[in-house]
Amino acid sequence: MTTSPVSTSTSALSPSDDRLNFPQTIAFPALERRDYAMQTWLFSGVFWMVVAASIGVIEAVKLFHPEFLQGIPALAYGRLRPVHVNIGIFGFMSMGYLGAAFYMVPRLTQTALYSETLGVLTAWAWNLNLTGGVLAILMGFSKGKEYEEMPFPFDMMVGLLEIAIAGNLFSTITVRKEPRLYVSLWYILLAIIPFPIYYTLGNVMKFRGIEDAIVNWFYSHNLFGLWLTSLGLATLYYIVPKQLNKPLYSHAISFLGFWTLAAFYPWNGGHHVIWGPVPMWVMSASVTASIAMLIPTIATMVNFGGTALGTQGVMKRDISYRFSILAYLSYVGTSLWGSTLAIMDLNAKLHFTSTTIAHVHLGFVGFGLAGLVAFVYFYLERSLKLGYSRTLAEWHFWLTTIGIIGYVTSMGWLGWLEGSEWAAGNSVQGVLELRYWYNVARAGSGGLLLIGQLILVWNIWKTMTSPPSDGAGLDDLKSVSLNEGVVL
Amino acid sequence: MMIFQLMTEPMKSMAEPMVHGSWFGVGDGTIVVWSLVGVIVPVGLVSIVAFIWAGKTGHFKNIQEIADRQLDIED
Repeated sequence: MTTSPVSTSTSALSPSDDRLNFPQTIAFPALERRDYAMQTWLFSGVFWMVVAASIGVIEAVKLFHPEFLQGIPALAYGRLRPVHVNIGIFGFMSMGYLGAAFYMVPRLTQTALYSETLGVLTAWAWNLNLTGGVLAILMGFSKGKEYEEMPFPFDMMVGLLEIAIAGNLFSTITVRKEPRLYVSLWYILLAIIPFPIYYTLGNVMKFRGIEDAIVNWFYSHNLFGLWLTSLGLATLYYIVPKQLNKPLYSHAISFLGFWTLAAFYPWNGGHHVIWGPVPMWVMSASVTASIAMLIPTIATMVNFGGTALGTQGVMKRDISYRFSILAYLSYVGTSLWGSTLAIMDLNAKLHFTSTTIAHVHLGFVGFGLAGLVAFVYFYLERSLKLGYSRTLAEWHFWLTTIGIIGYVTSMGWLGWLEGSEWAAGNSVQGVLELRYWYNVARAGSGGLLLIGQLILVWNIWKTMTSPPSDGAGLDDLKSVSLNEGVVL
Repeated sequence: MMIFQLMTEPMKSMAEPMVHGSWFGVGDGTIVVWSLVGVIVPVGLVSIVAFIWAGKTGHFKNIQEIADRQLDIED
């Protein structure tokens, strides 16, 4: 490996360090602590992850046992569903991965974060705003459109806060000491810069009729594709080489993957309205772009695959890396599945079935959750130098993996059966009975996922509140030394 | 009750499925959507020119170097 190390002293990241004469004025001494902002974002994300999973399980039970929690308007399925989705997107995924971004940006730029104070304040404002938005939905105030249910002023605040977050990260990148931009920074920039454009289009602008549906999906799909996927990939691109102590297979291939994703993803939203009363060019463009997404998917597949080749030994002993691999495989699976679902004939059969639910959860839980959890373990071990309980982490990994497989298999297979029944002429009501045991399996898988995440929270809590005094870990800890990242 | 019966009746649509066979076309693909072509072709051309310019001005030089250096960043 050829390296020409840059200055990696921790002082380079100290908030009190030289800011290259940048006019930084947003600073409150008590909040200007290294990594304070990223911790606030990251652990808020973990908190919301558990809340989202809990609500998901309640919903899943209601699907096969509708009497469950019946009679409480705030806990009706129609209100819990948007709460689950909004917490999943804006709480768990956004906050968790922004935590990872606040961690990566100062390190990759070798520059202190522009303002830890602003980072912490925006995190708490985001938390409060999300709580308000969720309570409003539970009380029955909803805009009634997918992924934009949060009513005014909570929807508007998300956009304004994101601009402040983007400003903080972008300012740091602008005055960076490291001239080269590593691939993770490209993806972070792709996430933070266009967000206000499509978020405003989706949430604030008023369109009528079918135009509204098209814009709704333009916004919604970019929320997943440009916001969450970019932040998730940025995190994996950062941690995987470090977990393996091996450079990324090819920075050039990541270049190809990045630009094709940036070019094709914004066109994908239209594939949600295929066969609807929308102009044919919208369908043509979205199907073409969806299939063209094979290029960035294969580029990412080759790049991570090339980096991960021959690393079974690391996978056995490093749970953080194992979660990264789970996230990588889920990303590839979700992306290939998404491109396939956009094919018009297949879409006609499967779009409104449970297959779509399986596809979304493979992305959200398999890629999103596993990637974030990989980062959490990575952060505890590499940055805080804390040893977490290996036994609890093993339970966490296997419960999560079995939960994902159970969920995706039950919903995917059910979706295929539903689509086949409908294509054969059966009605929606006609297949309800068929769904019963699949929905039980869905709730069971969700339950396993929830238990796994509760174990993670317990593990984090124990690790951070009772750090080992003698350098050893908890009783059953098998701490992985940083120097052990040998590629096998 | 009547509505419920209608909803549970199997659908028996006799309509022939439409054919969508073109990237830039509508219907059977014989009508070209020029607005779509008008967007994709210029964007594609600009992208190609931009890549050639970036290559000639050295933006891809030593592209792997930063990936190697990433490992040396202290966490």
